[in-house]
Amino acid sequence: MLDDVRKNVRRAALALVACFGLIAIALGYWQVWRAADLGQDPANPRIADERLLLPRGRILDRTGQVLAESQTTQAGLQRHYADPSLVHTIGFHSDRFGDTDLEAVYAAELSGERSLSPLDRLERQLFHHQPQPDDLVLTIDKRIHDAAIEALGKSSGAIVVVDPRSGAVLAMASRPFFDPNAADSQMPALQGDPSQPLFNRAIQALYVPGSTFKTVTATAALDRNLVDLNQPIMCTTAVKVGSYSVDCKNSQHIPRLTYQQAYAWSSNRVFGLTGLLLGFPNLAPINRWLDDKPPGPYPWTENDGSIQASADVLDEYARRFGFGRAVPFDVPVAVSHIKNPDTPWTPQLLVQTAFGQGELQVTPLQMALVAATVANGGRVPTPYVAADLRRDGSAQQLHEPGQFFSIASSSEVASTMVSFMVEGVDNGYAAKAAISGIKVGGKTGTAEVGDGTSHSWFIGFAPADAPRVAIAVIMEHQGSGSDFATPAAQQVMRLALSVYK
Amino acid sequence: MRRASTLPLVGTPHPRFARPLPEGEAILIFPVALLAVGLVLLALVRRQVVEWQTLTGAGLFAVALVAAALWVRWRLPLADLSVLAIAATLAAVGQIMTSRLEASLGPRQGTWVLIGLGAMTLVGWLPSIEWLRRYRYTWGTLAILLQVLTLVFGRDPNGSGAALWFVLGPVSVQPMEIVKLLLVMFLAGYLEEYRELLTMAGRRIGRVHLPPLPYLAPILVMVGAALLLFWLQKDLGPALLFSTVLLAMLYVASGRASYVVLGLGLLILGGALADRVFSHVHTRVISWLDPWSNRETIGYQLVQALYAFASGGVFGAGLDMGSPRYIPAVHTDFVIAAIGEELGLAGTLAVIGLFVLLVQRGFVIALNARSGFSALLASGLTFVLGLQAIIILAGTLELIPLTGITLPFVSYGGSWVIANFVLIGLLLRISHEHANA
Repeated sequence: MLDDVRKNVRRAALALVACFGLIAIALGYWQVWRAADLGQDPANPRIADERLLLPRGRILDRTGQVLAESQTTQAGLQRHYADPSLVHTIGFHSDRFGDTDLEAVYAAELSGERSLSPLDRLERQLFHHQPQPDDLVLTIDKRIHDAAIEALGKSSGAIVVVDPRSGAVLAMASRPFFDPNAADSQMPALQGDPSQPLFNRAIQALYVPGSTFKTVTATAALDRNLVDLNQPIMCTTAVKVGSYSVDCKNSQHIPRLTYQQAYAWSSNRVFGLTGLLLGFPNLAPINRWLDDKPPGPYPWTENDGSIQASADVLDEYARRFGFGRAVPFDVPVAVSHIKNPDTPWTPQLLVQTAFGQGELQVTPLQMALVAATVANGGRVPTPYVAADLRRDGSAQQLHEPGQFFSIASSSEVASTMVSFMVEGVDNGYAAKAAISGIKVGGKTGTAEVGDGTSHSWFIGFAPADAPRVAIAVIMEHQGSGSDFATPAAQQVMRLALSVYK
Repeated sequence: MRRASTLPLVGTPHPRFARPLPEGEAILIFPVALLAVGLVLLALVRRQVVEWQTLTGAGLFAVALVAAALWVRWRLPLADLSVLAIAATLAAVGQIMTSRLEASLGPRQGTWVLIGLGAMTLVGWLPSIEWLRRYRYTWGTLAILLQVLTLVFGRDPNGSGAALWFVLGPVSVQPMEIVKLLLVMFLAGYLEEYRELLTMAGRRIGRVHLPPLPYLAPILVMVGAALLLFWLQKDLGPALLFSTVLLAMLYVASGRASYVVLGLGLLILGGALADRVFSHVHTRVISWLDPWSNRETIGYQLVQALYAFASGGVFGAGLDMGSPRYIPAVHTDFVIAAIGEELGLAGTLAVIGLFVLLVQRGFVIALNARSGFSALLASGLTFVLGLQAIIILAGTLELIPLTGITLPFVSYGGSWVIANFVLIGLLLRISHEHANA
């Protein structure tokens, strides 16, 4: 009798223990198997907790100056930014609005989650070591950045300074900016501000490049060996392309000019027609066709379809410089493009594009890369702004300096382009970029934006014989490139050359 | 003190202090040391000064355990002390977690444990285990009466949504905890009485034995009434606990797995029906099936518990270093999630291990019992502890719908800690009376 009960007790006991076994398996499932994904679930309140409790690493400029750090205040840990004008370079960290730009891209490293070896991870878990945040060192030079912000003055716009040899971005300033230290409370006002202070113009804004784009057109013509550099061109009259007429107004004080002078004095007719002639290698040298009196009817006047070949060449060179593709960078960069993908090429659009108008849309970073490419022997340097992560004196390099992501032209063509741009400063519209004792190369741009005003552009580099800095300056609605962006660039380059070797 | 009361029903009487000091009592050092280390650790982590006061709780706990051990040696010298040691260890974990989660309640939980250890000695006044069997219908009637009284006079002082408490001045008592013990005593007595009939009788359909309804009727009425009252009180946890304990004891008495299958089927059917009829049941089912879509509302508590488990990982965040405060009722029903977050899988498995040890010792007592009633009572009491733990653990881990019930000895609260120590006392008493002399 009792034996039966005992047998039943034994069986029931086994069933009960099996239930505990199931519980143990469920514990393993939630505590090990699902630990990682639930730990990263944004709805997990612990994530916000950690952000409030753990200090983030600092962000430093290349000289070690602190640009951002976590400070203990009465309200807990708060991210403090030394200079609001750097907000578009660094981005910002906000518990309400999340992280942006570098603060977002390097969030894991800054909060100490840099990949640990399994052993280190175990040790950290067992002994509950706080994660050690990394400091992020940038290629930015605060002094050059300050000069750029000052040079922009009250104008909206952007200045990007790159070391053409390494691709290191020394400054990427954008105006207007906002104070990230107070962003949480001011966000609604900032979002409604018509001057768009939240907009990072250096890498996100798309502008018409104006004549600075002639650098791309000229590089294409030279690299295709279409131009005789010595044969002068007579440029006094306008030429009608379709219903559009391109003239020689910019260079009217020199009726007979070389191709280099046409670049330095920014002839729209010469570079507009160059764009159309790029697809006709058998017409080389094209100088005769750029002249007041061409040797015959223009090849595109009869059949619009024939311009496709020239458009393909211009498009290819623009692509080589980085247009139409995602420029590799630490933070996403808007894609510059040569025309809207849906618009068909017409002779008129191609000629406008070739001298820098049309439907061209470029970022200031892209134009700085165009200047840097010329200064770097035709190779398009891979830009980067995050230099290394540092912790306890050990550094982890984030980018190999001196990489390039494309080759735009041969080095011979690039050195010819250097001489073109030096001419632009020595005897051309970019004269105000001149720095005494240093050879400077540059190209101005006056981009018509359709409301009667113009954006003022400059791209250039210095010193021309061994460039250390390349620059792009855009000042919105200021007027001619020569009078606004060019002196601003001169100011920044002069300072940069004195502090950056 | 009536000497006769300690005489076992079967076997030879044992002289007081007959056996030499057993090494068994040494294991009581473990829960005391655990509590002391836990409290000191907590003070250190919180950067409080570690004073003698920090150890007051551990000191009182030690004194109470020594007193309990002395009492056992005096009144129940042959008892299996390990059930007390394991229960005390779980209670130590409970006191540490209560101090960590609700610092102000820590000393109170300590007091409940002391009162519980005192209440445990009440079983010494029982004439015998056999005496419990004799008055089985009294226990059953008392259980129903208490339930009805709760329904009429019950209050809801904590705003939990169910009026389950008797408020007597400053203290609130949950009669359910006493009902739990009374019902098991009734069931053990009744099932013992009709055990053979339950095993033999009954119609067969194919290979399935149908339960002999006439003999089952009284317990079905009794337990059914209790369950109905729980339903009326919207207290699903105890309802589930009693249903499963009834089935388990029915199986132990009859050896008929078909009763269990049939009973579980009815339980699920009843649950499905309740899901359609009662909105508070439906809420529980929905938040079980898909807590993630309802994480801001009815699924909030469960989802927060799962986050806590996940954030603990294998080794946990460390005592006082996690964020279990996001879980509502974390120090009572959801204490295991806090253990999971701060002590990790290592901690939760240790607690599971303690429960497995506890039920194992409980079943050994049942196996050693020399009367059917004692065997049924011991296994029934063990089932109460084991199934209660499983129901709340499985609920917090999304294995079954969540029903409000506490984790024995670990969850904060007076009524259940006291009742559970009385339960341990009963197990000690049975193990003593039926020890192999």
